[in-house]
Amino acid sequence: MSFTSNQSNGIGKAGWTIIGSLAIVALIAGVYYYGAFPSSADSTGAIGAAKKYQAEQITDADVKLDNPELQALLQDDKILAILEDKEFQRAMQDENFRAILADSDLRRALMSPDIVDAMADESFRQFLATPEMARLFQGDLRRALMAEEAFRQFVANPAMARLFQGDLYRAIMAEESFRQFIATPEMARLFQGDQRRAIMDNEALRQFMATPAMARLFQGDLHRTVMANESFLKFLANPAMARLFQGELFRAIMANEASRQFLANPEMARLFQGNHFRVIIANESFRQFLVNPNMARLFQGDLFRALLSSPALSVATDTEVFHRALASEQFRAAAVSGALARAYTE
Amino acid sequence: MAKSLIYLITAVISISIAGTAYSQIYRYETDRLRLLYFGKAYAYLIPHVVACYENALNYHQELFDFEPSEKITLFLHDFSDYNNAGASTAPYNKISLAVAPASYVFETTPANERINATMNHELVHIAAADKASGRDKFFRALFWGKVKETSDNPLTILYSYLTSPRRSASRWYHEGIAVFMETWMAGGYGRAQGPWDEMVFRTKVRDSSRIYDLVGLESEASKVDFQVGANAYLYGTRFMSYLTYEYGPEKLIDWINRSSGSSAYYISQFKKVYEISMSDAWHNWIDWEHVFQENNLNFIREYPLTSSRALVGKGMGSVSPAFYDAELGELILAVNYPGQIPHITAINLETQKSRKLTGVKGPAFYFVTSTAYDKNSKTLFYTTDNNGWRDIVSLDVTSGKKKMLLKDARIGDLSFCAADSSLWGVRHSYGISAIVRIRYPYDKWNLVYAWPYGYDVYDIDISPNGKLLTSGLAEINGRQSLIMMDVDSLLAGDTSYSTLFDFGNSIAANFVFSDDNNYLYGSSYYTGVSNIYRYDLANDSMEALSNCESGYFRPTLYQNDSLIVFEYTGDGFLPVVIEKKVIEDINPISYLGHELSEMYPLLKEWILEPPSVVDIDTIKADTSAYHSFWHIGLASAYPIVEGYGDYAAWGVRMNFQSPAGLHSTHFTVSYTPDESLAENERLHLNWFYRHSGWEISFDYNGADFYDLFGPTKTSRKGNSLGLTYTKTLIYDAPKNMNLKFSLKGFNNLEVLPDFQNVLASFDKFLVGSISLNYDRKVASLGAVDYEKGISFQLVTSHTYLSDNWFPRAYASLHLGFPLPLNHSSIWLRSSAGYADGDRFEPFANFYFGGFGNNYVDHQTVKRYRSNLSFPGLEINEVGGNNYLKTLLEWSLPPIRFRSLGSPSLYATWLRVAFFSSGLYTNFDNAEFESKIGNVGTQLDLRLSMLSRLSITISAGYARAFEKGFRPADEFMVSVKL
Repeated sequence: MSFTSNQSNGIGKAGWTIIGSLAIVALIAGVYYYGAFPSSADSTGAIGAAKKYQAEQITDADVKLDNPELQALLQDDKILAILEDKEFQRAMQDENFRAILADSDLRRALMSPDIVDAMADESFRQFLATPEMARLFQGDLRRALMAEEAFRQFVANPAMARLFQGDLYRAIMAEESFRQFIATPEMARLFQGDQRRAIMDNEALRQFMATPAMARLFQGDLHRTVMANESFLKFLANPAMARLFQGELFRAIMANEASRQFLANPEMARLFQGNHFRVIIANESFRQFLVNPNMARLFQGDLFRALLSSPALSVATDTEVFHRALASEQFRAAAVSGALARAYTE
Repeated sequence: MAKSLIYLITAVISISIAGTAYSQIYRYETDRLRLLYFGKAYAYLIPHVVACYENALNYHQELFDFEPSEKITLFLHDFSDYNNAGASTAPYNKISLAVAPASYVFETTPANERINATMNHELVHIAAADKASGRDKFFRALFWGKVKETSDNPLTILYSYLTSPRRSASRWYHEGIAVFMETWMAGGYGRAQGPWDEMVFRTKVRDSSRIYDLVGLESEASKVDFQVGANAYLYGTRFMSYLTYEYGPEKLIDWINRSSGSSAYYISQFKKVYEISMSDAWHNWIDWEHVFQENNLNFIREYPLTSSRALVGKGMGSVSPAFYDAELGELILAVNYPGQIPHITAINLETQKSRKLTGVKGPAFYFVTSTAYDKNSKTLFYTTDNNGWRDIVSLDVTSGKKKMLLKDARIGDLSFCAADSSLWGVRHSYGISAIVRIRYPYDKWNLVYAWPYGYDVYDIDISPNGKLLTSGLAEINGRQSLIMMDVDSLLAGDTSYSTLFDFGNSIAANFVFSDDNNYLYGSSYYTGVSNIYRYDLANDSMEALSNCESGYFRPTLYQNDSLIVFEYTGDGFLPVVIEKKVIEDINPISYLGHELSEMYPLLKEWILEPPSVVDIDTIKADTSAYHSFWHIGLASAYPIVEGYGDYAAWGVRMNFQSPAGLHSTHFTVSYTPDESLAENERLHLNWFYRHSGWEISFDYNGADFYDLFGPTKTSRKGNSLGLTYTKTLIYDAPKNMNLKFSLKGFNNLEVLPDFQNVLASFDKFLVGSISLNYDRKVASLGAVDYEKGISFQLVTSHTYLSDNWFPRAYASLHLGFPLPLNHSSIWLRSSAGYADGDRFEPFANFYFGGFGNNYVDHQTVKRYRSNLSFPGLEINEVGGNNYLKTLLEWSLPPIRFRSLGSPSLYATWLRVAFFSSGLYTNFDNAEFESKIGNVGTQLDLRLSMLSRLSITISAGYARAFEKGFRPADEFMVSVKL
């Protein structure tokens, strides 16, 4: 067999056929592997990426910002609505509020982990959001109550803390008969004077006293400790307390599921037990601020409730930087300078 | 996830303190920077702003051997929804910077992180204009600072040039070098390597359309081209790049740098450095550009071009996203074209007839307005006030009825979700991009997700089934990608997204869903040319659908087998139809910027280090409250000459100003040496103070430069002290309304302050006035005057003298209507007035007469429009206790000069107006009444001198006629500086 002159370059027809076939296979493989439209601008292909010089660029780490988390809050329509709310603006102009922020002890108390943890609870939020709480903040009753040293001592009493913490308390509060008892005029008169006999004649009270929960209560050390507590007794004798328990409002609060859950919350017990809470309650400005009618209206609104559930708020306030920001002199100075009030009046 | 009540209160308080206290100016002042800002809400940016500033300033100090003549004042603000900035150097160095995200439309301004890029750019302006040679420093010392030209005294034109000669350069020069430097400082990320710029010049070459010469660029291109002022950036950057290509980057710096021994005038310095005239170099560049772009065009043409069918006759200027309504057979979009007021139009694709639906208030550059469309209700949603805080408006395209939905919502990039009829958008606030949703009835928006700073989303689209959201995403490093999010997950708080396609640093523009939810259609400059791409969601693949020469943008769903796209042309965007056909081969083009980087590695070394190299913690800053009043300082002082009647007075003027210009005051003292003037009239004093809406003025024998060139005289013997307060009632461009209060006392006057030819009956009197002023006037792109609108004024004034009161009141109303002829309009200007008092008491009269222009003047050119003018009569010739006046004016389209003059002095336009007016005075008394008419014309020729100064030469003629009197003629010639 001889080769024709076609083979003078050493590759025959068969050879070219093989080479050509391999080339086609390679081409197909290349297209398949690399794709006709690469996703990176660096590669070339049927759709060619234009060449542009690109040096390494700055990154996120090169951009230093100051508390951007707070900034995120300002993007939230609910936050903005609060800021623009006239009630809120008026509340922010409250002198007592500015005084609160000027008080370093109070500020520290407000920011304490106890407060934070207690307030973080869902039951607290629901409790605050009830219309009854709003009315409570609005009333004279509240003001009088909060002015009482006896009350402050009462809530600071460790025995009270234990009381609120226990199952017993929860059981008591759940008792319908107890609620009825509290609401009786006799209870009110009790706190005002010697009305024990009248009270003991009260059918609701008798039923309550007969409950197993009450039995355990009166048999326990807790009861003895509480009833022996001077401040507790003074507190009960407070006319303001009497009016409080007499009122529809208290009954409504006690009847409210959210209230019960709140009061049964162990966090709340720790809260009341803590020194921070004592500091807060003792602060006259804080008390005055809370009873500000504008604040009451604010808390009553749908807007406030919606705001409390804002994810942005929770993210933003759950940071160390936020805590530091609130503690900063700059913040305090700005708050008490009246700048905020002026901003909203102009 | 609730948090404490206490935290909430304190959180909201801290934010509200941070939030909107715009009435107070805050300060962050270091040794080298005076940063002033209005809102604590964006104060979180300050560390980054300061770092970028210090970093860029260090860089320019080294490259230009530049030390600022004084501390630079930087105004940080959030007054607009898109990033923008400006710089000035006289009398003080000042930068204004908006914190909002950038606009990514058509990739006209590619950049990495915006504060970094903007700072680099603006500080180039400062370095280029503020740097002084020995001679400049001498004059700055002589005049106590950098003189800013003022029309009060035209000698300041000379002083300004002597103290800052490089300010007297064309805008393209300043913007060109700033853009060029900003690109290389960002490692190639900028308009000097931008696809839009390449496309503009490539298209000019393809269409054999004009690339303007030096004069034509300023006189015509920057005024009549649909890109108007952007042409300064385009041409300037391109010319700088060309010079670098031919001569290298070092020579460019030698030209720009005002170093010792350099020529003051930028054109002279060019000749010195390049040894060729700038005109010749410019022509060389144009020739070179033709070759460069032909190469690119040939490269594109190696593969078949996509054929298209135009839907209208020519480009429509800037266009918004468009929608095709098959039921109506119309393409609905907003357009902004030179000569026409921007508006929303519906084009019938069968007849090609357009119906104008409504005007667009506050159109955005390039994209006019953001739009979304509900096919079912035939409602177009669009944005207004696009250069401020955007509003959202709805328009029924069948009835034309529109409704303001959300005022100052700051939302754009709209997309309509057909599934639940909600509107989605991107909100820009305090520098953050946030996705928001607006549910029917569209009366409030809700936040969906706020991106971290530096991550900007744009061109969002919601799939027809409401399940998916796509958007372009720009990151801090300049990376652009097309992303997708699940709507339900997003609404539940899951902000994760998938990246559909990474276009590198090319923007993924205007990707929209197909009706069947399966595809996305959009555009990208991936190959250097903007072509149309289709993303297949099921197959996760991207396909090209076009190969075009100029650029295709904004694919709009049309028919099953075709799309409407917008092709870039020199006249703007042209809607065309293309087939949905996959293209396999597209050649990339060459970027001039890339070629430069290969030829001159030095450009790669020009990259700026990241701002994080600046240790902010080591910089001492003063953050106490800023009271600008206490920062007033002497800005400049210079000799002046003034006119007092027919005499000349010589003196000095001293200007004082706070660094940011919030307070300004000047004192002028001059003396008339001519002894023929009474001694008690030879000394002339003037003091003027301005702050916010307040003005105080004092004159003692007040003189005026323009009195040197009569016949109108404003100088007066005597003294006066005046107080004016202007309260803005509405500021919503183009609408504005203000209330002005004025009280002025005069002593020792001989002629009336407002009527030079009328003797005052008493020399001591007090004048108080209140005026309500309203304006809403608009002009189209390329206009030389307002073409449409309304303005009115209501004035009451009381003059008290000699225990008598002389009250007067007058009102005026101006109405303008555009004509079908571009830049031509008809105006009806009417006024009426009444004064109470003795008919012969000068203070109880109005006086009319004359054009009012001086031979050399600085007040408005069209003085014939004012209430008290009456061309044809002598100044103050006709008086009356009361009057009615009306003027009908027709302004013809201006004649633009393409190339008449030289770069330092050239003509820009010539315009003629015809008018006719009627005046009726003392209409309550037939014995004293006057009924006068006139007809007249005025021709105005606008010139530009030294790139900064507009000079208008006016010539007018009018004939006044009154029954029983011979007609009177008046000729007027005036040069306004």
